[in-house]
Amino acid sequence: MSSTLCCSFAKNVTLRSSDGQTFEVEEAAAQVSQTIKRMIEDGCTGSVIPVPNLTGPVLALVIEYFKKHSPPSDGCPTALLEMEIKDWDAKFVAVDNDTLLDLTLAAHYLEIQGLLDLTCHRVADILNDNSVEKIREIFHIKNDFTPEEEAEERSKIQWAFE
Amino acid sequence: MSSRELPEDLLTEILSKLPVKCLGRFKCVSKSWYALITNPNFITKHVTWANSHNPHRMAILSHWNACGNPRVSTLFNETLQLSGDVDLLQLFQHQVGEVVVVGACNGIICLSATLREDGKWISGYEHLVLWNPATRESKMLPPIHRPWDLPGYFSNFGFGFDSKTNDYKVVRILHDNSQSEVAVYSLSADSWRAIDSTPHPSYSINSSSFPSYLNGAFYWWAFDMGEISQPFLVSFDMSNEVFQKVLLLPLEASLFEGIAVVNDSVALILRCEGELDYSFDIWALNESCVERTWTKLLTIEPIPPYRWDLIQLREDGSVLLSDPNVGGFALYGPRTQQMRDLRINDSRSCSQLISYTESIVFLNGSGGCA
Repeated sequence: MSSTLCCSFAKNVTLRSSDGQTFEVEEAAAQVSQTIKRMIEDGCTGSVIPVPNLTGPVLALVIEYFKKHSPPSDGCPTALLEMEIKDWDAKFVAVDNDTLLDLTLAAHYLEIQGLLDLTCHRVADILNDNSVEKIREIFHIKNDFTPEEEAEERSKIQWAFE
Repeated sequence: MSSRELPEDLLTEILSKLPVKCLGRFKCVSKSWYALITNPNFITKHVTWANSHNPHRMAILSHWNACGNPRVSTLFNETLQLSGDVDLLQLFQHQVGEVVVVGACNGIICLSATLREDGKWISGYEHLVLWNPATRESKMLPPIHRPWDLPGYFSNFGFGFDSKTNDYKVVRILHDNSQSEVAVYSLSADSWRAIDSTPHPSYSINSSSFPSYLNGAFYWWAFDMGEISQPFLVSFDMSNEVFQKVLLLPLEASLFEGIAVVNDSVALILRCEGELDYSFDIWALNESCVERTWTKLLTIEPIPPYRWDLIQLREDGSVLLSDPNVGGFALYGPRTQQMRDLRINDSRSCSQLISYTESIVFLNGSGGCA
């Protein structure tokens, strides 16, 4: 999708995931991540930038996001473009729960504010719609209350279960 | 699998934007979620977000049923549909005679009531309750003595939040003709204490039926009995616990109806009497560090055929009116001049409607629902 630049040497960087997969991406696009931006500024270009917290498939998704959100080379984004990106964003996070959590953690680790807002919003919607049991399942949370403790707590907050 | 666990700061960020009911439920997810949701810093974060985004607005209505008994109900703020009735007997642990909403702040409502026993009023003490309608938690304040036996004594209450100490406070001004005495209740200490700061004894202070609390200060209106003067405002700063006099604009031939808080401004309500009817003028106080100015917000032209009582100035510019003779109430758009009838079964007349944002603020210690 990225437009062909007049100067054919748009700088690229290489990112390496925790499982050793490498991805080449335009430097400007990768800088959507504040973490990577800092690494580039610190002189990490030329060599491979390690992204140890992300597996290959997650990094591939994040790079898709980078490409869509890299600053346009020809000035301000138009309203139409913004709307298209918004649609794209909504589809981008319409994924299974585990992938959504992976993306949320990736956005957090790589400091991608736009993606973090997007995923957190989606996570909040899921939280809003689900029961306590379902939440434990989705978020892989172990229930460390004893049955008695849980029953007592539930009896105190009956209003929340009505 | 466990690597997908969200870090606490991220989870805090996400949970702080959820409705109260969700958060109540999620206290049961795990011990760490319980600890997070009942953490005072989290509660503050949730309140701050809710106050600036107003996602879950409710309203509290103080009215009378057909038998003449006081009734307090919660309504959905946007539609003004009935959500539920409050069990006043449970709240005050006594039969009540009259209930007044002193104020609402961060989802906590402060109510004062006179108590009855066998149809007779119990005098001598003033009874107040703090109540969080969203979590249904309530706290009865220690009763505070009211010298009924001394004629001429009168008290005014205010309720608000002290952001410096993260505490909720109720202030009572007790005055007669020559002196005034001020006591402050602090939720964290759960007790009343007298303070030295008092409004000038010559001030006659009046509570508005629209509780007026804004940015850490509670407002009443007053006039000076020592001189023929215009009414003015008296504010009480919940943190510094001092009173301040705020002058009003020069009033013309209109009657002073009261004060209110509308869209983050203190507003002045003036009633302009016509021959058979009256209109209202609403002025807003704009406060900067340099000066205070008043801007006219709106005029409510006479609305035939009734002489209405003004119950609430709403955030969307509409007003809630009540007909003191026939009962019932109506929503009126001053600009469109359109009236929408609102009826609640078994409601004869209403006296106060106060909007609030739901919160998970606890009243009985951190996390306690006891």
